[in-house]
Amino acid sequence: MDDFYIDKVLNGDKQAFRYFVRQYKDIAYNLAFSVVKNTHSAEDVVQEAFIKAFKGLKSFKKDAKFTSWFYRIVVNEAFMYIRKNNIDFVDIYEQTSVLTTDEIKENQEWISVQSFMRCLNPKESLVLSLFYLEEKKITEISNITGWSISNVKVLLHRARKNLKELLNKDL
Amino acid sequence: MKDKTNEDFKAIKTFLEKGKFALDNPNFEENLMSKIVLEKNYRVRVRSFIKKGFICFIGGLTLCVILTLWFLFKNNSYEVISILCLFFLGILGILLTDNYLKLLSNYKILN
Repeated sequence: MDDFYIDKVLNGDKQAFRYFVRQYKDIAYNLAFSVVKNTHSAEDVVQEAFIKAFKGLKSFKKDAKFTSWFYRIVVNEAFMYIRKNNIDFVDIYEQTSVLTTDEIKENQEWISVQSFMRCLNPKESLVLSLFYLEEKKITEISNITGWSISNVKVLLHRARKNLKELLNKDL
Repeated sequence: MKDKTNEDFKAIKTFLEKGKFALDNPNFEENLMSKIVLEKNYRVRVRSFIKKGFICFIGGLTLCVILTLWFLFKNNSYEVISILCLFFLGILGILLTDNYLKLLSNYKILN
């Protein structure tokens, strides 16, 4: 399906790019958030990543997976964003201040998971998201992030350990 | 051992899924698409503008040189009209070259 829309975009149908936006915006947003840890910044990162993907679609080789190629753009963009802006990570509760008490009660689980994720370092939370949420293999994660396989394994191990420690602390 | 690993995987996956985000900005898609379409158009416009500018520059320069030479050789002397022609050639050349370079530098920034 991706290939069909890639051909359409390359043949000049710019509106066909909507398919990719609809299909991958949430996944890209989650990946970007795991690195930049801020909703507004994550949105900026995703937007920039989509624009870069559109511009670079000609260079995309069809024997590769579109998702891996696109995730790589998102990840690079996210790390570039934190390097450029020297991001100081704010607390998750700052973002929930706009929610009403009922909404906070409803989203309690979401808030606690997000606060755990925020405590992890960007690389660790990114590896967790790719491995568990996107169900990517270690080699694929290595391709997306550009880190070595052993580095990804170490990060994943450390992330799991830290997550468990955080959970135990909270309980 | 494998079952335990699978169980662990499922447990962490379920936990992380509870914290999944959805991009809830309703204008996100439209804003992004308009940016993509506009940026592409802007680039095409700048490119065609540079082409037109270059054609005008070459055309204007050739015309001015031909006119100047024509006036010079026709009258076999430096007349007011040929001096004026040279003067305008100089102004036109400076203006066009300057604008052309400005356009080129803007185009570099866009890329």
